[in-house]
This record gives sequence, structure tokens and C-alpha cells, in this order.
Amino acid sequence: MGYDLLNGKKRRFVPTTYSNSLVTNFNGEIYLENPSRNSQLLETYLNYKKNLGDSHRIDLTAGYSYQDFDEEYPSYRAYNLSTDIFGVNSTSPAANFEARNFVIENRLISFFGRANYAFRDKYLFTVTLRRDGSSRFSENNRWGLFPSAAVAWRITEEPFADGLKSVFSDLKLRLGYGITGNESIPDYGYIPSYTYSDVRARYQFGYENGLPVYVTTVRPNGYDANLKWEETASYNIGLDFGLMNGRISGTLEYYYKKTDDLLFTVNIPAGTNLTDRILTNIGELENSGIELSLNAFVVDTKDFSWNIGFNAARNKNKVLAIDQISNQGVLTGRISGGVGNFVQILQVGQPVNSFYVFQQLYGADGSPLQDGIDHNDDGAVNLADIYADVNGDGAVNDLDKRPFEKPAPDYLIGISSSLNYKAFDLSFTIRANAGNYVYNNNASNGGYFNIVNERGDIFLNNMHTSALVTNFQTPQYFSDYYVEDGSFLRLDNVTLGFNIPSKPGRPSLRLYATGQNLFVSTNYSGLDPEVNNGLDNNLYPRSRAFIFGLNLGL
Amino acid sequence: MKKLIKFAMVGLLLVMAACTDLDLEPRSSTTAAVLFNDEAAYRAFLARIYSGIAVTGQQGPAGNADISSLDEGFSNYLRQFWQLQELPTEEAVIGWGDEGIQDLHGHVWTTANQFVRATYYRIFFQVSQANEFLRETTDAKLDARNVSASTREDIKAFRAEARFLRALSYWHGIDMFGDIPFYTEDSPVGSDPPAQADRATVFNFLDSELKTIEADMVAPGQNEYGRADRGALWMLQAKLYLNAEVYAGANRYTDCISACKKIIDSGAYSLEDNYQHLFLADNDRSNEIIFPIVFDGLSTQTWGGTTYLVHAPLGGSMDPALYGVNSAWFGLRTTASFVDLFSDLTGATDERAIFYTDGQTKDINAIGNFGDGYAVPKYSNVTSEGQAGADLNHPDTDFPMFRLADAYLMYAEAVLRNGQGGDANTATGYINELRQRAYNGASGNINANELTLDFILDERSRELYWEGHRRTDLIRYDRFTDNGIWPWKGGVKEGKLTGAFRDLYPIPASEILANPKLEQNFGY
Repeated sequence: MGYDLLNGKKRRFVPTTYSNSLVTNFNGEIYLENPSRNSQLLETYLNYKKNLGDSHRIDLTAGYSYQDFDEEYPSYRAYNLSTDIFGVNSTSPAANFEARNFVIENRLISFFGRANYAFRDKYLFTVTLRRDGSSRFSENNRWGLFPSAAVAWRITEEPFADGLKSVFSDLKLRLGYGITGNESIPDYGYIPSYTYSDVRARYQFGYENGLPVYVTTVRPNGYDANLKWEETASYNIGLDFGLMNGRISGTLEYYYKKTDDLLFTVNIPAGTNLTDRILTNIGELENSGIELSLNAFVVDTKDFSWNIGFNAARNKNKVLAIDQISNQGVLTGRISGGVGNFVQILQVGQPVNSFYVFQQLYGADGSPLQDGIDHNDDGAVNLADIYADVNGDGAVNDLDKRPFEKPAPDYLIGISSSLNYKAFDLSFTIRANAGNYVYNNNASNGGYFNIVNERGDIFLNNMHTSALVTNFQTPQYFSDYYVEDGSFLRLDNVTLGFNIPSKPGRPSLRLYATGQNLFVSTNYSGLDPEVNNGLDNNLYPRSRAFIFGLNLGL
Repeated sequence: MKKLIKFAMVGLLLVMAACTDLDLEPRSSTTAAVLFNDEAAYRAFLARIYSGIAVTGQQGPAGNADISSLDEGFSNYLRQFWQLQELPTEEAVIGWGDEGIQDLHGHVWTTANQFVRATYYRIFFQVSQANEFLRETTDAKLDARNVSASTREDIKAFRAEARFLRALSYWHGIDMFGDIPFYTEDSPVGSDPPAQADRATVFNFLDSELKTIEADMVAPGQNEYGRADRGALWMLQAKLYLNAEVYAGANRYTDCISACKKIIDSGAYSLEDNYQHLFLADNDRSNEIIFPIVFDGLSTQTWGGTTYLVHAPLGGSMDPALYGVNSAWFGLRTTASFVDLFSDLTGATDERAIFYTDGQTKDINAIGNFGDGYAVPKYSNVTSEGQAGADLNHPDTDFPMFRLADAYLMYAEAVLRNGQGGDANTATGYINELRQRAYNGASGNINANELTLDFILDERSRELYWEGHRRTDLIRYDRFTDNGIWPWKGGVKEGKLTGAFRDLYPIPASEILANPKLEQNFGY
């Protein structure tokens, strides 16, 4: 049973000298927010274990869990400051104030059962069943039933496998199937509700004593009464193996996951609801992949040991269906620059969040054709001068954007090594991704010449150096020039250590030096290709750290 | 003993597990059952349908958005309606690079255009909100809630106004999109997608709907400021009848004249003395505006509406402070075709010529350059006495959706188009009233011979430019697409003809895909 109280504290100070303040005469801002979350958790279960003779082992569990999250977001904003000297510490210099509060709550209740049965540790069966209820769905759709089953077969325990034992010290085949549910969506989406306007979104109805009367308005909100659980069915088959008495061990696994009733926000037909977009259950996705991991003790002697680990995965995902919305798909991936611009799409048959961009045309010198020039000599300066007419309709417009590459890597590879020689140890890990693409939003949002003087004589803006290659005069957010191969190889860390074990009367001692994020090898032009969802927009740089340490064991 | 404890534990477990309560209601918003306990909620709900044209969400100037198909600041009804009516015409160009915005003046917009999409969803947001209001104010609901007699009396007018606002948006719908999804309060939330109705069918619905609610609308000039009265309803009728050939292939000029006469003869409205005062921060005091969209620097904030109409035309060497705001957005200007309607750009001859030419060129070489094309600071956040509005970001200036001058012009045009019940002399008189105000005297007066349809089209532009009428006017005159040339129409400097199918905007691609019952407009 648990009770968890989380109190956050957000403080933001925007000085009056901030460049945007100069443009809008915004004159500084203090923002304070104290989010809090009360979580009540209760988990209770009964467990029954029994061995029946030497051959049968049974392990049964039945339980109940209750989770309630009650969140509150009070915030305070003060702006138009007469001085910056107080930072967030005093609101006295502010001319304008605004206070808000916002409360949400959700609850998740589960009944669950699990049965394990093992026969001579050779055949292992697991069956689970959950019944989960969420406050985020209406009474009719509230409860989901989520079963799973797994079987494992330790082949090396079989008499007929004796022959294999010369090669395999352990060999286990696993099969699994299960359904899981997802309810991580905003609260109250199924309830018809009304929201009041704040003081700055009222509307005038007449006058009283010569002064305008502003009415606080109420708006009925959109809702989907039929919201239900998103369900993912997973199938996996795996082989665990040990070779040479366990000196080499590994796993080979294939998985396939299919998601139904995907929860996503989409445009709905006008006239069917109170707004234009609704979070609803829209379609199907699939994920599949193969994963291999190997671990080997290359050398294992008293003074010298060396262990190497290797893992590689090949993953694929695809949108299988989107209800109602067919080939055009659902735009996603909002970027910085312009207003309301999206560069990714969910489209049937394409990988999830594929980039959705124009095909850039290139000049003889290999650099992108510059905008603002009538390259095709048709008498007009337009998109057709710099982008390809992908659909061949004779014009270049929005319809010529097409899905192009995707943010998820095709391959993930990791190598780790740990080496011990007498008192010394040396270890490192290397990671690599291949086939992941990144949209360089820093370049697209700053890489054009007009940005320099955009603010007239108030101040000069910085320009991204990509403009020196592209010669773009105006922003070209939708050029595939900015979609770059983000494959990389990263040396995550290296540690060198020296150990003196303890002896009676002498403490143990360890001296070590660690380097983190030592190098990245990539062709990506931005700072770091490892970004969330393939959108590189003012990433906070990963630090390169050097740590020297001394451990003393008394 | 041990057994007892075991049983007690199991018992406790079962008791705990009995808690399966998952009914949680929102606490920062509310439900109809709670809301309508307060009879003031009906008025608050009606105000929200009005504010649907002014604001973008329940938090000003942005936040808690109504629609989310695009950036909230871009999703403002008035801003997008205005852009779709003005940017594809000779009256306006805009310098920005937002996706699809240049396609409007260039007449190359596509089914994916975000401004077309925003306008479309805004229109049906209004219709859906009005329908919900009508569903919540049926006699059965009011009976069940024991609503007091006085509130029920108010609700009678409220319902008429909700239906008027729904009609206003349906008019915008058929004007821009032709055949549109049509549904009423009989289609509750979660209904099957509505079917597409012919433009003429919706026109006929509006024709009878406006007649039905006429008696329940408050008498002209008698309603609270901000709310529509019978005068606003007659204006909407006049607009529909004047364009009935376009909408329904019907000659309704006689009905147009009759609606205009009701407005003019009501005596409830009179021309503002000074033209510029119609567009200033204290224009709520004007008696000429028949139906305003109301904004206030402190109480009704948005990044669209007059915030956009005051800021976006400022740039170059213009000093924002002179217009009562703190920043210039370097956006809107006009073309030489519009400038040429005036012989004197200073405003000394015709005071409607509100241009800023210092550092600006008349011709446009690059639309993206603010210095190309004269600026038009028609809307301003200073009062007629020169005081800045209450807030320097968000003007107090209201938008004149309908005003008396338009009734005069419609009357004259309907007479010239052979409508009955009016006459050319009266029409000339009305036009000269507008011109006397503009010229501060009779020097600009015309005689009845000069009153031609071509003259009216130009005069409408001189009088009503940048008020969201131009596209509809040009289409009625068949000069919007395959007739009529102005700079940068079709994306070329000297302008070129474009496809007649662009007299209608496309239904947004997202909607065509979401509602399989809809058929896309020809050409898209």
C-alpha cells in the first residue's frame, strides 16, 4: 500500500532584455508553477506455491491493485516588469498578473491472476489474466481483459538431446503470446463537459452605466463517448542458448506486435462533434523484429579475464490501417518555424512518423537549387523551381510531398567489453544505430539569408551556416534536404580501474577513471543525431564527462 | 488462530477488491447537469457562439483551443474568413512564408491548404455549437430544469440569435465551399457524418430559416451591443438575395431591395460622420455598424480578429505606436489595381484612401518584401480622440461585419440588376451620401447616369475594402478567376487568369477523407 505525494516547482524568468521582448515590447515575465500529484496505491495479492512430488511445481497468484492519481497545477504569471533585478523573487515590478489552477484525476483498478506450472524444470508454462478498469473510459468500455500465455522448453533436459550436450550446455525454446492494453491518454475524453472562459476570453453583451459588460462564456467540449482501450497483441519466439559450459551464452528472438484500436488524435467529419479533432481509436500498427544477443568469456583465468557482449536488433514498423482516413494520412511532428507546420505523417503502408517533405532539386554543382530564381524558365518563381513534381500533375504544391525515410533505426547494435588483468580493469561500451533519419530543424529554421535582417533595425539575427550551402533566401521547411541520415556510432563510456583488495587491517581501495560520451561518428551535420522522434530542434547537448574516482572500503 | 488470521486477511482483501468505482467527473470543467442549475448559463453559452467568431479558445489570447487543425492563433474565424475573402483579390497581399499563405493570392491553393482548412472547420464549429445550444434549450429541457418564466422569455430571443449565427456561418459555408455538409440540432454529438447538401438547398433553408426567426429577433437597434438584432438578420437576407444567382441560380434582387429598405427605413442606423472612425478603438459607439464582432484589449483577446487587422498591415517605416500597438507584423499591403481606384492617395480628396506610402513602392516586385506595395493602416487601436486602446497587443477595435453603407450599395446594385421596389434616383442618393461623407462635401457626387454596375463594383471596393467582401463581390461580377487581372494573380507579376473552378474553395482533404459522403468540388 502506498501514498505518494509529489510536489514540483517550476520557475521561469524572462528578462526585459530578451530579444523577443524587444520585438513585442513584452517587457519580461515571471512564471511560477507548483504542480502536485497525490498518488494512492494499493496492491494486494495471494500467492500459493506447491510442489507435487519431484516433477510438478505450481505457483498461483491472485491479486487486486488500485491506483489513483490526483493532480493539481496552480500557476502564476506576472509580466511587463519595470526592473529585472529581482528575477523570480519578487512580483512587485510587474504590471500584469494572471493566476490559474487546473485539476485532473484518474484511477486504474486491476484484478489479476497468474499461474505457473513447471514439469521437471523441462516444460514451463505461465498463464496470466488481467482485468483492468480505467476511469478514462465510459462504463461500457471501462474494463479490458488482457490474457497472456508463455511456454518454455528446456531442450537440453530431454534424454534425446544428450547428443546436443557436447555443443550446448543449455538450450531453451520459448514461445509467448499476450495482449496488453494502453490507456495513457488525457482524462475525461469520453465525458460531455463545459469549459468556462477566462477573464481575457469573455464577450461583450451591452453596457451597464455606460461601461461594457463582458460575459464569461461556457463552451461545450468535444468528446468521444466510445473511447476504448488500445490493445497490442504480441507474439514472440526465442531461443536461449549456452555453449562451452556457459562460456558463450546468448539469445535469439523474433517478435511481432500488432496494435489495434490505436489511440490517436485525428480530424473527424464536420457535424459529428463539437470540435474538429478528437482523440479516438483510429487504426492498426505493426512492429516486428529480430534480436540477437551474445555474451562470451573470451579469457577466463585467475589473473586475466575478458568478457565481450554483443547485441544486434533489426526492427521494422508500419501503419496498417487508419479508420476513415485513407491515403492522405495524419500529419504529426510539429516543428519550429512558421506556424503550425508538421513534417511527419502516419500513412497506411508507411513506417510510423515518416517524414513528409518535398523532393529538393539540385544544381549541377550538387548544391540545392536556390529559391527565388526561375530555374525552369516558365516565367514564374514558385515551388516548381526548386522541388520535384512528384505526382506529375504539372504543378508543385502540397500534393507533391511524399513520405521520405523515417526516424526509427533499422538496426541497433551494441558492443561491450570488460577486461580484468590482476588489479587492473578496463571496460567500454559502444552503441550504433543505422537507418535512422533526422530532420534538422535547427538548419531549416535558421538557414536562410533573410533571417539576418528580419527584425529590421532592432537587432540582427543569427543565421545557420547551412545557408552558405543552400543559398536559401527564405525558409524551406519542407525540403528533404533537411532530412539527413542519422546513423551513428557512439563510444558511450570507457572505464579504467585499479583495485587493491582489502586485507585484515587494510581497507580496500579502488581508483578509476571514466570517460562518457567520448566520441560520435556520424555523417549527420547537426550536433547529435540521437534525438527524440527524429526531430532535431535545439537539443540540449549531451555532455562529455570525465570522472576520476576513489573508492575506499572500510 | 492462524487459520482465523488467514480468513481475516482474505476477507480484507475481498473488501478492498470490492472498490471498483471508476466514475470520476472533471472538476476544472463541468457537466450540463451542474451547469444549467444556474440560469445565467444560457446567456453564457449564447455569448460563446458569438465569441466563436472573435476568440480561438477559452483562454485569451490563446489556450484551451476550440479547434486544433492548425496553430491556435491562425485558427481565428474572423482572421481566416477575412484572408479567404481578401488575399485572393486585388485588395490584399501578405508577405509571410507560412505554409500555403502565398497560394491564396497566387490562386494555387490546394486541398491541403491550412487556411482553407481552418475556415472550413471554424464554420462547422459554429454550426455545431449553435446546434448544441438549441438542443439544450428545448421546451422539454427547460421544463425538466424548471427554468423561470423570465429566463424562458430571454431564451426565446437567444434561440433566434443562435439560429441567426448558424445561418451566418452556413452562408459563409455555401459562399466559399458550395455544396456542404448540412445538419441541424437533430443530429446530436456522435451522429453519423452528415450528407452533402446542394448549395441551392442550403440557400433555400437559409431563406426560410431567416423568415422563421425574424419575429423572435430583437427589434433593430434595440438589442444589447454585440448581439444581433433584426437589422443584422435583414443584412444577411440582403447578402443572400444579392448573390442568389451565384448560390441558387435564382433572381432575388427584388427581395434584396426589400431587405435593404427595411434596414434603411428602420431608422435604427445612421452613417458615421468620419469614415476612419468606423475602424478605430471606440467604433463600438458608431451607429452605422449593424452587426459588429466585438474585441477588447483586456477582456476579448485573440491573435486573430482586429489584433491581426491592426498589426499585420504595419511594417517598414510605420511607427506602431501611432496605431496604438506595440509591434508591426510586416504582412499585409495592397496592389496597384486597388490603389488606382483613388486619384489622390493622401485622403485629402476622398478620405477613404487610407494609404501609407513612405518607403513603400506602388508596384510589387517581391511579395515577400514589405516595402513592395502600399500599406493600408485602415484599422487602428487608437480612439477617435487619439487615445491608444487599453492594451498594446490586443486592440479594442471592433470589426464591422455588417454596416449601413453596405445596405446602400446593395440597394443600388439590386436596382441596377432590375430588382423591383426601388429606383435609380434613390440609389444615386444613397451612393452620394457615401461620397459626401468621403469627400466632405458634394464634390464627389455622381449623377444617375454614372451609376452603373461597373461603378458599383469599384465603389464597393473604395467603401468596403478590407472588410471581407471582395471575393464574393468579384464572383458575383464574374471577375474573380477566368476574368479579371491584377498584380500577382496566378503567381505572376502582371497577373494572369486562373481556373473558374477556383470560384469555390476545395473541401479540405482531411474532411474528404473523414467523411466518405462528401464529393470534392470540381477541379480539385
